[in-house]
This record gives sequence, structure tokens and C-alpha cells, in this order.
Amino acid sequence: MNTPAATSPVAESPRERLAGDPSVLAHRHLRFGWWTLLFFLTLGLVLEALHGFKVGAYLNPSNETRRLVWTLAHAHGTLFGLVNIAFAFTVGRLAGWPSRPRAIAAACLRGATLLMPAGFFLGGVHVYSGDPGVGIVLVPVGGLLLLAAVLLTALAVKPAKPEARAGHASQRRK
Amino acid sequence: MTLEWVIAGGLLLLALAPVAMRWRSPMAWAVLLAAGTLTGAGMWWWHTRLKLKESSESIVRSKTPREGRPGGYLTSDSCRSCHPNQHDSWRSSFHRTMTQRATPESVRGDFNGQTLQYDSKTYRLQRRGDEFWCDMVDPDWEYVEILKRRSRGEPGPIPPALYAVAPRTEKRIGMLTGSHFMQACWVASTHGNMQFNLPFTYVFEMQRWVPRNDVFLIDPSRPWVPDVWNVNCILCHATAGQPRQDAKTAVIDSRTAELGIACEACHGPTAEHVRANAEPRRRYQLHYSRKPDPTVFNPARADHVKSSETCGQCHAIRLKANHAEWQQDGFPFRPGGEIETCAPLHFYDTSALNAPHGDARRRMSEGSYWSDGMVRVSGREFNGMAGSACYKKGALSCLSCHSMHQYLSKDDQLAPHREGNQACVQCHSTIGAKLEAHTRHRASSSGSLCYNCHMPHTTYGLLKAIRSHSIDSPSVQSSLQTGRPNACNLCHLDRSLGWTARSLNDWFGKPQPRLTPEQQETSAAVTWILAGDAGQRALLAWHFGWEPAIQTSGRDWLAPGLAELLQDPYSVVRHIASRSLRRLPGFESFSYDYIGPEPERARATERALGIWRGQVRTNLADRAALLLDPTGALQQDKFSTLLRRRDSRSLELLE
Repeated sequence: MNTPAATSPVAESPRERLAGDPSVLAHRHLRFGWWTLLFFLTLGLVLEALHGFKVGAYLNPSNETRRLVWTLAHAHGTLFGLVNIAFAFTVGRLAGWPSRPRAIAAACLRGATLLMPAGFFLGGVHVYSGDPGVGIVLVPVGGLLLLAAVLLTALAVKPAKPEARAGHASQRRK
Repeated sequence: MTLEWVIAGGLLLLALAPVAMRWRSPMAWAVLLAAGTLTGAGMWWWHTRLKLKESSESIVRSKTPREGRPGGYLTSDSCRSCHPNQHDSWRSSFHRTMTQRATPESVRGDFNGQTLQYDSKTYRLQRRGDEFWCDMVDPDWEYVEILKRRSRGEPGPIPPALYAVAPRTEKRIGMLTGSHFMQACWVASTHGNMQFNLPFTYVFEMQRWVPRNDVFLIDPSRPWVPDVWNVNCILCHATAGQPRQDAKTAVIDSRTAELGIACEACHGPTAEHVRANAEPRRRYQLHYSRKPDPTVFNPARADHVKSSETCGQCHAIRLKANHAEWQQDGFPFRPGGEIETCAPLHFYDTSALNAPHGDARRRMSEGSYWSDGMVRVSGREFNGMAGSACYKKGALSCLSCHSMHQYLSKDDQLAPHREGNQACVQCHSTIGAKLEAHTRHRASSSGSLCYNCHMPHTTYGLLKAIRSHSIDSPSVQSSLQTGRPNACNLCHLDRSLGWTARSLNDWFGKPQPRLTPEQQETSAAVTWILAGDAGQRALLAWHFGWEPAIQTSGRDWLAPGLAELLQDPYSVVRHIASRSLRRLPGFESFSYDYIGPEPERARATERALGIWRGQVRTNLADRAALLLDPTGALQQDKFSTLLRRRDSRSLELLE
């Protein structure tokens, strides 16, 4: 049986529930991070195979740009996987982080994870005598999103309170 | 392309929309909308730029000889992933850039609105963005006009009046030849991908455009005729070129494996090699077995004949065994194969000397060899080496001294430790052990360097003297018979042939030939520089600025001979003389333009003699051989006598 105290006056959307619950957000980034890591490590294996079988479309000097931007896609994607995992742990430790900036930071980070490696990869699909294709334009947008995410997260990490510091110190003495 | 836009747009939406939704502010949507619009505009700008670049490149590619041909050829692109070091060493060599497309990186000439005048024609050079253009007389019209006049038996230049009404056109520079000393520019014909050169060459040393006939040793009365890259230069300035000239229409649709001299020029077609070695297991088996790979030719592992023939496919004077076949498909020679069947080596042909003037056989024999058959022009080193005992009886190959992938300097690509006597003492170790006993010079002297005596600078090319690759010993007899300066007198510029003959007789028991009193007494170098043919004068003018020779012979007497050459009829002789003159004390800032007006050149001779006369000379005894009297003044009568005896026959050296 439902009571007024047990249900909120307005039904909370999943997005709002997510924004209000850091553990859900942390879990989401943990999952997103590990899958990103898996995806881009797999891309790394594909690139290694292109080396092993000496595929000209990847290794020839005329495809130097493709090789560079696909390597960058692999490297950035992998790092983004790790950053998402780090973000998940950060969210778990910052109980006082207001939900709105936290949600914006999370969305920016996910957007950057999508745009930067994908921009590098798309830029390498069609290469025009040394210049990458139009997809490369996504990279700076992703870069701005990443900057925003990192800025919001850095602002959320406040200096430790004196009692917390004292607690830490007494623990160290014991 | 469209898919690329759709994917990029979708990703952008997917990334930005969640940010806006969480921001929960009207401002957020405005900011993100602006970000999306900006990104779209950025993509459009980038796309337009790429398209422009692509279309500009595709136009020039469609009008220049194609890269890519059948026969198992790929390009150097395919080689780098397995052979990065070799690829890099080749890439930084002048072989790669022998022919290349005109780009801002490759063009060395000045295109900043330059206006050049050649006879009665005007050429306006201009750079437009990354493209290089020339406003000029229509080269197709000019070429056809020259052919018409030739067919009517009028080989002279087109009259200026005709040029005044000639059609003009703007041509984009498509290709370039040369990147070491000078650079020629090529423009496309309207027929096929035929390429004509501009009548100017950009000379790096002078940092200026110079008329093409003034960078080669050519009879000054000979008019300039445009070259066609596709039927001449393609043979050696590209890899596995095929002229592909239609026998009926004469339209040319040339193609090459690659422009410039690339990997497959020396290693042969690589398609099979690349295919077989895509399999990693095979590669590692080959690495560990250290066996040669049968799918490709490696000159470094071949015997000295096959190895040298690889270089000698270009660095030699060769004939076309089957002209029609060559005109269509180029030479069927593949490195490691039989070259003599398709491109036999050409030798000096005395019977050709009786052919009428202008005959190709006569031109080749007169313009390439000394009269004993030794090559006298640069770029034909294999002919010289192949006639030497070290090659015929020993195992000398090009790679005994040079290396394509591990070289000290890209100027001559000498292998490490081959800049001194090491190359020769590999085989001649007993001479190396008793060097001074053999050379009769101090071990530290330039006279103890094997190549100074056995490979003197007696070939001409690229505005300088170059070492002969016919390995022989100094001989006064040869000098008398052929006019080719011997090594002794090219260093001892102040000595006579008589002095050399006596020294060679004393030291090596060489018989002394009969000499005239003048040959006994007068410096051989002075005789050659004043009375020699244009080729001899060019060689001697260069040696008058060669430091080992100057150190041996002194420098205070060299100016009069060089001053005289400042008004030589052959422009390259004038240039070399002026270069050597500026190396002498007191002449460092001597102003002179070797292609300036004739009266100016005559005045330059007087100026140079004036400077020399004003200089103080010491040690004046025994200078008669140099045509100096005991006071140090020039013996003008003897000087003029030699000048009057100058060999003024028409000469064109086919470097």
C-alpha cells in the first residue's frame, strides 16, 4: 500500500534520479569507462594487425596522416576510458557536489569521449594529400567539452575541512 | 563524403544535446546552438579547402606523366613500412627529387612576379597560392613552328617578327627537374601529357634564372629548342618510364612507375615482393635465415657486374636497340637482368666523325668522348668504369665507393671510409702499405690520394670539372694525342708537359714522347686554358680555382688566364673562370655578369688584368713557363700567340 510519505508529489524522471544520486552516476561512468577502454584497446589490436600484415592503406607514406590520426583516436579513446573510470571514483568521493554541475560535467565528459576519438578516426577515413577529412573538426569541440568537464570537476574538489584533516592526522599517529 | 557529414553531425548532436539538457537554462541552448553552428561552419570551410586542394592537384596530375604502370610496379610508398631506414636515406637523396611535381616545397626558383627576357620573348613568372604560373609564348605553337621550319630546311631560330605575333598563354608549372645544382621547369602541352621546358633554369649557386643554353657547354650560335621530357628525360629522370607516343598521331600519354629515381629503379618491380612479405611468418623466416629474398633484386648482394649495371642503366651512354619498342614501352630492362640486349653500351665511334654536322651519331661521339674513347662528360660514369682494369679484371663496382643508403654526404653519396684511399687499398693493399714509394709524394699530400692521379677531374658537367671514372695512370702521350689534361699537370699547373714526361720517366720508366720546345717549356695548363677547345678551357678554368692545385702551383700568376676567359665565347667557360677568379686574393668582390652584354665582359677582362698588374709578386725567377717576364709582367706576345691558336671548333658536351 502506498502512503503519501512513501511517494514524492511529482514522479522523478530517471534522468533526475541519476542527477540526484551520485552512486548511479558513478556506476554509469564506471561502465562507460570500461566499455570505452575495451573498444579502443580492440581498435589498438586492429591497428597492430594492420602493421603486422603491412597494409599499405595504413602504412604507406602517402597515408601518413591516416596512420597518425587513427593512432591518436586509439590513444585518446583509451585515455578517455581511464578518465571516465577516474571520474566515477571522483563522483563517489565528492558527496557535497551539487547535482547540476555534476550532471553537466558528466555529460561534457561523455560528449568529449565520443567526439575526440571519433573525430580523429573520421578524419582518417578520407585523407586529402596530408590533410585529414572533415571529421577532424569534431576534435576541438570534444576538446572544449573535456576542458569544461575537467574544470567543473576541479572546482568541485574543495580543500579538506580542518576537523577532517585532524581526523586524518590522529589516524596516522595511531 | 556525405556519410562522413552525417556521422559527424550525429555525433555532435549526441554529444551536445545531453549537456544542454543538464544545464537546464535557455542560455545553454543558445550557447550549444552557437557551438553546433560554428562547428558546422568549420566543417564547411575545411571541406571547401580540401576540395580546392584536391582539384588543383588533380588538374596538374592529369596534365603530367602518370605515376603508376603495369609490370608489377608499385611505388616507394610500399617500401617504407618494412625498410624505413632505406626509405629515409633514399628520401633525402637527390635521386628522389630528380623529377618532382611543382609544389611550394619543391620549387626553388623565384616566382615573385619575375619577368624574364629570352631573345625577343617575354616570360612572366607568378605564384598564385600554392601554384606556379608562367605567362609565355604558347609552347605548342613554338614547337610546331620549329618542326615546320626544320622540315623546310631552316634550322635557325624563329625570327623575332614572328614571335611578336605569336599566341601567348598562361601555363601552370607542373613538374621540375633537378634539385641539387639547378632546377628546370616543365609546362604541359595541350596534346596528351607532353612536357616542354622553359628556356630558363634556376641555378642555385647564383640564385638566379639563367637561359638554358647558358648552363650547358653549347656552341653559342646554337638556338634554343624546347626539350620534350617524355621522349628524353623520362629515360633516367623517372622510374621505369614509358613514353607511349602514338606512332600515327604523335600524341604522348607517358606513364612511369614513379617520378624521380625511386626504389624500383634499382630493385626492380616490387609487387610480388610486397605480396609475399605481407605474411609475417615469411618475413621472420627470411630475417633469421639471412638468405636473400628471391622476389626482389638487391644490388648490394649481386656480383659486381650486375650491381654496377643497375647504376649503369642511367649513368652510361646507351643506345636504344629497338627504337619503336622504346618509344612505346620504354626499356624492358629490369635490375639484375640483361641490359645489353635492349640498351647496349655506346662506344666512341670514329666513323661517325665523318658524318655531316648535326648527325646524331656524330653529335654523340664528338660531344661525349675524348678522341681515345674516354668519356669527357658527367653522368656517364659506368662507361668509364667498365673500361677500367679494376672492373674488367677485378671486382670493382659502383658500391665499392658509393652507397645508396649509408652515405657520408648526399652530394656524391660516398660510403663511409671511402673518402680517402680506403676504396683503392681494399685491393691494392701492397701499394697502401708503401704509399710514398708509389706516389713519390708525401703521404699527407694531395698527390698521395689515389684518385687525384688515377681519377683526375677530366669530365665536364654541371658547371664544373668532375672526376673521371676511367681509372688510368697519368700519361703525357695521352694528353698529346687526345688533348685530355693529365693528372700531373692538373695539379702542377705551373709545369710543362716536358717536366711531367721527365718525372714519369724517372719514377715509373714511362717512355718520354717527342715534344716541341713550347711543350718542353710552357706550362701545359696555360696552353690548354688559352689554346684548348671549349671543354679543355672549362676544365682548366675550374682547376685554376681548385685548392690543391693552387697550393701546389701558387696563385699570383693565375689571374691573366682567367681574365682572358671572362670574354670567352662559351658562357659556361666564362662563368667557371669568374668563379675561380673570385677565389684569388684581391678578386673576392670582383663584379661580373657572365651573361651580361659583350662590351661589359671585355671591360671586365681589362679590369681584372688591371687589378693583377697592381698586385705585388715575389719569387719572380723561373716564371717563363707561366708567360711572365723576369719583372713579373705578362709576356703578351706569347700569350697572344697561344690565343690565336685556340681550338675554336664548335663543341657541345652532352652531359
